[in-house]
Amino acid sequence: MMSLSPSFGSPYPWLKELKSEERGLYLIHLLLTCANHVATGSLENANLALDQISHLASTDGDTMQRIASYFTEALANRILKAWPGLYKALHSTKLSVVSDEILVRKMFFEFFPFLKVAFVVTNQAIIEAMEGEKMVHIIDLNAAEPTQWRALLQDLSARPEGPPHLRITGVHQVKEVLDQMAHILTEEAEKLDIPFQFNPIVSKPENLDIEKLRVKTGEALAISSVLQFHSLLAYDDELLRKKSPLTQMNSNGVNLQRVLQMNQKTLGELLEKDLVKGYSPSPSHDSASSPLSATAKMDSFLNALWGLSPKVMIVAEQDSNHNGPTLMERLSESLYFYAALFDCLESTLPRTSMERLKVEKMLFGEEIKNIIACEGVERKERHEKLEKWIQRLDLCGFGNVPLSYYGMLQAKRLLQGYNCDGYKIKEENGSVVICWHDRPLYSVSAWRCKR
Amino acid sequence: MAAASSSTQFFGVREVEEQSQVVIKQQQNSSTPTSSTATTTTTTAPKKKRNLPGTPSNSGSSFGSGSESILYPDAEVIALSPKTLMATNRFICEVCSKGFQREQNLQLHRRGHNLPWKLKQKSTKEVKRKVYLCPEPTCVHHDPSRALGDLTGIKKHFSRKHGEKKYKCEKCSKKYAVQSDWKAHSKTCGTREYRCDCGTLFSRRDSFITHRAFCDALAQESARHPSALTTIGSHLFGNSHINLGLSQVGAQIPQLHDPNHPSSNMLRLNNAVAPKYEHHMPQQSMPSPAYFMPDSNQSYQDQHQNQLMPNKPFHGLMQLPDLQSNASNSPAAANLFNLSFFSGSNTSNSEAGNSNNTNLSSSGFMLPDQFSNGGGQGTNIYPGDQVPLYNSQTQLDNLAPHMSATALLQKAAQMGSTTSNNSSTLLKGLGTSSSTSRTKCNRQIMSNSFARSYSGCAGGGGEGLRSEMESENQLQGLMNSLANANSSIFSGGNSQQENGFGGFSGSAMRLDRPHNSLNFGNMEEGTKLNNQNFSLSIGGSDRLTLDFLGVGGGIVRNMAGGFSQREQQHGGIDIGSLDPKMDSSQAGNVFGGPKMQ
Repeated sequence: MMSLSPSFGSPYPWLKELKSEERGLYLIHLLLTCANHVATGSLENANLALDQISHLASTDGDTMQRIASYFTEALANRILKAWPGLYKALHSTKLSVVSDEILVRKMFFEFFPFLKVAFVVTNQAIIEAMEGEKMVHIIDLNAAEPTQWRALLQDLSARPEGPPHLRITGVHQVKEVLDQMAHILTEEAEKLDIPFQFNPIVSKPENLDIEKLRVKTGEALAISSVLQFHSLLAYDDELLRKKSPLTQMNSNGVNLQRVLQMNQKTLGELLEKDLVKGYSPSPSHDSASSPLSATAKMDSFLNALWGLSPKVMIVAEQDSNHNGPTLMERLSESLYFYAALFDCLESTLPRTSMERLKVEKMLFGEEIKNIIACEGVERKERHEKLEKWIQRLDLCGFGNVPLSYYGMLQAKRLLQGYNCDGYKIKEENGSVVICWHDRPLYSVSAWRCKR
Repeated sequence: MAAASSSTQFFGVREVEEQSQVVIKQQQNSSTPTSSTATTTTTTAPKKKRNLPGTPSNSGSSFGSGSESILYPDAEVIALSPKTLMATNRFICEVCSKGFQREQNLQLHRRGHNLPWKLKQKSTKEVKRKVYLCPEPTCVHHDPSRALGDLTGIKKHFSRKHGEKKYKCEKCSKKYAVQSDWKAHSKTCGTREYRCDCGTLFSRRDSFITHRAFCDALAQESARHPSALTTIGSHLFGNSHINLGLSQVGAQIPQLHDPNHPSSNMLRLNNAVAPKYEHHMPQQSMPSPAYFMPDSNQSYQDQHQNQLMPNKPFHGLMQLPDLQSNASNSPAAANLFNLSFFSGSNTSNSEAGNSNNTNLSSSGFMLPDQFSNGGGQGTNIYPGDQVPLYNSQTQLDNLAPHMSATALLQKAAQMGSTTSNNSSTLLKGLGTSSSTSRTKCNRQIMSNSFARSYSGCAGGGGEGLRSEMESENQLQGLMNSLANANSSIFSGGNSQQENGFGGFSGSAMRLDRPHNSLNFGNMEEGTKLNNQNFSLSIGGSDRLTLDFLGVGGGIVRNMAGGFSQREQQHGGIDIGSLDPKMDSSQAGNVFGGPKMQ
């Protein structure tokens, strides 16, 4: 991990003698103190706190030490963004290996039950919604995992009324992933003798061209979004900022970053103009306080999806509010959230596990960095609570479909199979919330178009 | 619903001895209770839950209005003991000793012996619906709202879920608790067989397909990404790959449960919607404020443990009773509890008019963790070498499992160190609590403990860089940093601010004046002080780092210095005794008192 310490060796030998619990508490304290300094811009003090933390945190220690490592890295990044030159220089040689990212997501799928529960619940909801349908089209906004659709193919082939004609449209930004998925699914469909077509779209969901989805009349449409929607919220405070420059945050770095992102932004704006159609975002947007009002991009995307009139749409999201306006809010919420996730791993994998380290660093660490260090367009990990999504989807014309008993049952059985006490399933407004002990982590909900 | 108009919520619990049945009448007082009557009060917090057969009632209103929102509102809720449930043949023929499950069958059998027999007549009115509770207290069907609709059902349920699996399939070694399940399985076992490539065998097609879908795909994936999958089995439903980190915890859970569910013969019957802690209440009826009475501490803890059971750290702490004499076996639990619970219930406390007592008890409640160390071990708090706060835990650290990050955060939150506006559930309790002196008291203690934990850290480090600041400032600086760390919490800008800081500034005071927080006469003074401290911490934010650097001087001097400084600032405040020994013993007395006798 990074260390800002100018000195070698610890000037605080007593820190080494702290027991795990004391150290944990101390780390929490230091993190909060440091974040406070970062938030108020007193960098000298933040630096000192970071230095202290560096003596205590460790990426291969106990959970708190690990978490602290990533949070300090994130905080340091945030500070560094005030000096865009420094920041860019330090990150100029950074290799982002796409295959690594995919691998890490795969491990996330492996190590945690969250995606599996989401898949099982999604498939069940689709099977139920598509009962008797002859032409079924499924749009997967995060087509990374063929497993889910293989299972669905098999379920559909076992349907009493026979399998439908199935088309799956996979949206993913990496072509190879889609190719692989197409291969696996086509093979499986052939084996099961189901008429099947795979339609790959290489794109991020936020840049998705609705036309490319090629939704045809007469087919029954299902949409699956796994951990995708929140990134669509990223454009919103961008709009807000333009309207009221006063809300601008302190750091100039953010500004510069935004200039770098110009291309993306304009694309996003184009999309907005395209999609807004009669939904006027302007008047309510002055109230920066209500996050729900700041959702033009999200709303237009949802409206576009609504326009496709899916029979069912299943949404999985992180169930925690990491989209607060202030750094401290986001820090404390995400601290709880990721503490729970790190605890999950602690109970699953040994501390020395390379896989664990990778998931922590490359997945959670990056998310934390994004939540803490980034603002505006850059900040994509804008996780929000289920109730927010319910409100938002409701406003966009979607009605909640309570998950069926059988769907719940499957989810529960899957968790039981994990044989791990920590994971709990909670039913909330007809949706599934997967918790680690008492902390909600991920939610899965099903929706249909209200007419 | 004859007696439905009465609005009190009592269940008459009648024990029918010969059948060892306990029948709860939902119409309270309608049946004359027999001698062995026990009445259970149930405070019902309205809670949305599916109403299933036999929900006696959700709240007073369904008694009173007779609203028929429930499926079988007048069903009789029957709780059978495990013994009764497991008894296969309860009705024995006196002639041939043949046993029967039902009395009716015995009667029919007696007819064969030419013995007098009598079949129960169908009752003239419509049969009263009966629903049955599972005797296993941890089971969802233990709750009347989830009672099962028929006797056979509950028997099978109990065997399947909580019983021994006695019947083993010879072919596939699968075990069943219910004979009929085993029979049904035996018929099909081997006839239809689905074997996955991974070697798992399924007798049912659907489970095979579910398994297969994931198993296959994962196998393929793992070929592509071998490194990702080596340590983790490739089964979606893989039972094996979660390590048993929690198993220790699991092993200790029964201990926690024991006091709550002392025996399986004596069944606890809870109203469907009663709050959890109702479980642990004494059996006599009690008005709800009694929950907050000092003497029901035990039940708080129990409840608390129930909620937080799975957290490892508590088990570490569970071993503290050696150090603390009585039932306060989980100090951290108590802490946490205090925070979330008392803060929420302050209002009712004050209504009950026992605010001081309650408060005392609640504060006493928190103490074992932080104070008994000091109290029990005298001067240990102050000497510089040892980290004072966790004396006991330090010793236990080797034994105790590592504390999870979640638990640490919770602990930090109770101590008041974690920021979070209204988002964190723990702190929400604080945020919503009325700004009474009691809240403050609690906070003071909490923050105090926190402060001490850090002053402890400070004490541990002999070689801090303290050149930049006078040692006098250290402790105070630390306090400032605490307050500052929390300034963002309370900058939410409500009337809590003062209070919040009251907590933190108080923490400084409390270090040497444990009696202060109990002394409500001091409130005014305390508040003023808090205000000052608040502004001070903000204004002093520049100096904040100093305390980090300074975190390391000789602690005794620091403390003294810190307080004298404070004295200057807030002049006229009686710091009282600076003598560490005296303080600690005082702490032990005052705080340990309610708990430790």
